[in-house]
Amino acid sequence: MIMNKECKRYKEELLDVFYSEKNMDVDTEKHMSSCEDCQQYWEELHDMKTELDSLDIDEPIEYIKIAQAFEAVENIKGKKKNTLSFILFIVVSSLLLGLEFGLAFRGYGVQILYLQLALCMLSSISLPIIIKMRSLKEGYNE
Amino acid sequence: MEGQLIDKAKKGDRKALEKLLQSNYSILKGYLIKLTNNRAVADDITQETMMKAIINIKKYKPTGKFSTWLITIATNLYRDMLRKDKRIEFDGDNIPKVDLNNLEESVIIKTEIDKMKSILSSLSEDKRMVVILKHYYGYSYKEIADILNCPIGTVRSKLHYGIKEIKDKMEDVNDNE
Ligand SMILES: [Zn+2]
Repeated sequence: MIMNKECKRYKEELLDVFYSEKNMDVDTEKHMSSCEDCQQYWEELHDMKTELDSLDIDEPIEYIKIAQAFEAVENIKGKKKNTLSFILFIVVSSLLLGLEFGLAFRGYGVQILYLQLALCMLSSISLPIIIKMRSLKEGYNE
Repeated sequence: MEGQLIDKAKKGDRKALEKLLQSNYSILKGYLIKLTNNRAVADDITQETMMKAIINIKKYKPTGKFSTWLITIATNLYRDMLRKDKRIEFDGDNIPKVDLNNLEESVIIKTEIDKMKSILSSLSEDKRMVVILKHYYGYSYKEIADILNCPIGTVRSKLHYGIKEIKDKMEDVNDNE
């Protein structure tokens, strides 16, 4: 079968028409009516469509997979939050330590010791309260 | 309907986003199965796509359908995967090594469906993407160009070459039968 240049152009047109990018113009329609080769091409496109459509199987919705995606994202966010608070902890504690040393060198050592003693006592008293509040917040109280 | 759900989802409504993902799940999964011809890989990219959508929903600017956005994310993830060539060892599962380019020769063609599957997967990645997006999802050249981030002319020529290849291979297979 010899395909002339004309037909090549019309076949390209036909493919665009087949895939709804264009409407068939009068010129192409006229050519089609007189060219067997292009008519056959048009039919082949429809046959190909039928064959390709056989691969289009409806996939069921997997609700569990969707829920898992949400969970996975929550986990990633949780980890990021933990890393962030860890970094914050390191920064704040090293700043405080630095401040303490600085003050101690300037001769406020005794005052710092008193302050620390007071803080220690305060924290041991407040520990049960902190635990209670934490468990309320996290919903462990049944 | 979809527009309302998108608005809600963007404001942080998890239920709305869940509904959007549910109603577009079949499209996304079907697209990836046709694209990868490998269920395990398609499963993984589906999951990753949904996670990306959940993380980035606030940044999403709705210009088309929600499914278009998901398909764009999925396409990029698949391209990344091909770049890293992770398709052979995927999560250490026992997935047989699949060479998408030699599938035509390596698979014994049994049924019509298998035949079309192997023809489709023998196309180069970019041609296959264009053919799938056009044939199964009816996207316009412009939309496909946006999804694949390439010029419209390229989309058109890839479709034309892709379809020609499919037709030729269908003839070859039929001649051999
Ligand atoms: Zn002709």
